[in-house]
Amino acid sequence: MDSIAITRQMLDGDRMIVNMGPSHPVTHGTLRIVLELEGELIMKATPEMGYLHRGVEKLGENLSYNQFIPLTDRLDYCSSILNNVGYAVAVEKLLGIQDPPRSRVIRVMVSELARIADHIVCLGINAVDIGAFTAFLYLFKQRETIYDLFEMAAGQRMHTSFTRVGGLMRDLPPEFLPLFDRFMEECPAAIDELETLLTRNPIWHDRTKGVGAMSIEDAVNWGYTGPCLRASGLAQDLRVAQPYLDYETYDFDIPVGTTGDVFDRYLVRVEEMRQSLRILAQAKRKLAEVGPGPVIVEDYKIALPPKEKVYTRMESLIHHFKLIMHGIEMPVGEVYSSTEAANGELGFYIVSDGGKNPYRIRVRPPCLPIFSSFDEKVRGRLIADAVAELGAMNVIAGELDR
Amino acid sequence: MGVLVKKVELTWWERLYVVSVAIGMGVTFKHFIKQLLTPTSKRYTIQYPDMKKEMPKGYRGLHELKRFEDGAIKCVACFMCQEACPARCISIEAEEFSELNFTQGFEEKRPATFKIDMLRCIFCGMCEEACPKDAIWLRDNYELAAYDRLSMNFGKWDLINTYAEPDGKARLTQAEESPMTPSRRTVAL
Ligand code: SF4
Ligand code: SF4
Repeated sequence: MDSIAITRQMLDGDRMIVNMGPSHPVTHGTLRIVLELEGELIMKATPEMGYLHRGVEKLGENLSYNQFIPLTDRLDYCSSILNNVGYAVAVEKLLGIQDPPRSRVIRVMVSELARIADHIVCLGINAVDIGAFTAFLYLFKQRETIYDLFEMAAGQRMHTSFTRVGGLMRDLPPEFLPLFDRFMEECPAAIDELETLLTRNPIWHDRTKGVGAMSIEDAVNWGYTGPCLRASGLAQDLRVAQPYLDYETYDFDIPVGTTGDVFDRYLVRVEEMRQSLRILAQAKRKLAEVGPGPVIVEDYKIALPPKEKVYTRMESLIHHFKLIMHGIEMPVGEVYSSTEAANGELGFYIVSDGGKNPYRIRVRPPCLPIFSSFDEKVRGRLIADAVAELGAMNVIAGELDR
Repeated sequence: MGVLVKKVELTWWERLYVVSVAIGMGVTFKHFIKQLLTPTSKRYTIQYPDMKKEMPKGYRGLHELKRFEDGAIKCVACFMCQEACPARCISIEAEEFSELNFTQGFEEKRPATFKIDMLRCIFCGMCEEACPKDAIWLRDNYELAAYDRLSMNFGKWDLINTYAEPDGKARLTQAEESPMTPSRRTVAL
């Protein structure tokens, strides 16, 4: 990577150097991009990342497996439950266990809700950046409802920390389903409204069509995943390709685009929201089928025993103490597990040496490979296109820098 | 499981900017009217601080240290919450005490100091989960602000009194003689 310092040669040339960020409305986080301009045209864009680096991976080495979960909230903070689920699935793979059926259905439910919330943020903010403020306003009501649902289920809106190794932190409260039903009624109408405002709007077409187009080969070579890859035309979705949480039993379609430009990514995301709603409807039926039951494995070497038992029974109390003081007994080994987060493939690579804390945790953030192609995409285009492109990539600094 | 190819081309009719502007204005206007007819209490926007959101049960807000009916602190200084805290923001010092009474008949430990640094706390709720004595829980207060850092360092007495009605019991005042350590009497007044 080239140096980001402004060199004398750069200063002597005709090019104008403009810093976009680190705190700029379009960067959605702290992200610096050094643009070399000739007039309005971008000759070169050099991204600099690391402004939001918190050393999550290193911190993980000093925290037990369950204690790392609050840190995963802060990766892609627009859809924190997806990270919680992704991490829990990874640790369960390492342990070789499965969470109970009820927990699996609830995980699918909250994941899809989080996916919709993430797409709402991405599309809404992208539209605001380009100048279509209205769409953002009306769509955000739905996100509000989703966050209310999270607040009921997990106890907090953004930093949910909902999963635990082997299941969930708690069951859904009784108020959850009525509000969920209301959301399922209102959300399709809101998505239709978004489409009325944008899909057939010539201004939106002019601003987004052809911006950041990419062929399937290039996208794969750059390491694209998720909606950005699907917008190029490749129907690749980890929920289908390597199903986890029984995703193979849900019926949904994979939307793909044709050119991979900002407009196609918009279309793919909108359709994914619709498909998520389909999954949610099926998940609700499934939840009724599964019926009440435990939401966390009943193996007290892995998950904390229920509180009533801890208060009254000696053996459970001992398990409780042992689990918190010495952590889960992990097998020695390593695992890579990936799940389909809202931005693409979210991977966790965990090395265990059998101790209380993981030996090493590595997070594969979906937007790092996508963001690394930024220069290629905006070279020779206008500054305004860079803004559209950055929004459609859905770069979340928390996840990018970790 | 199918694959949907998404593609949108505009007709010449839609290419006329006027049409889509009119449609967009229509949507805006619809919302405008709807909003006018909705009473403030039903709108999505909450007029904070005049209106406040009701937090659901199980919300993870400011902590409270629970007490027994007679006012004695439930915590037995077992250090589980300190161990479970991912932010490492709890610090406890234990002390022994042997005066017996009804509720704490056999206990012989309690915290001399119990500090939570609210600036480090991430409100994850793991302390509540780890407590084997049902002594700490997170409740619904999310309005935490202070003028300096020191006042965000909550001590034992702050944590007992974080809510006006802790477990429906009256507020506790700290004993006069020692500012930081609680009195040796079991029933704190
Ligand atoms: S809520 Fe979490 S961070 Fe805060 S004191 Fe409890 S365990 Fe520590
Ligand atoms: S609050 Fe609970 S977990 Fe923490 S020291 Fe007291 S009894 Fe132990």
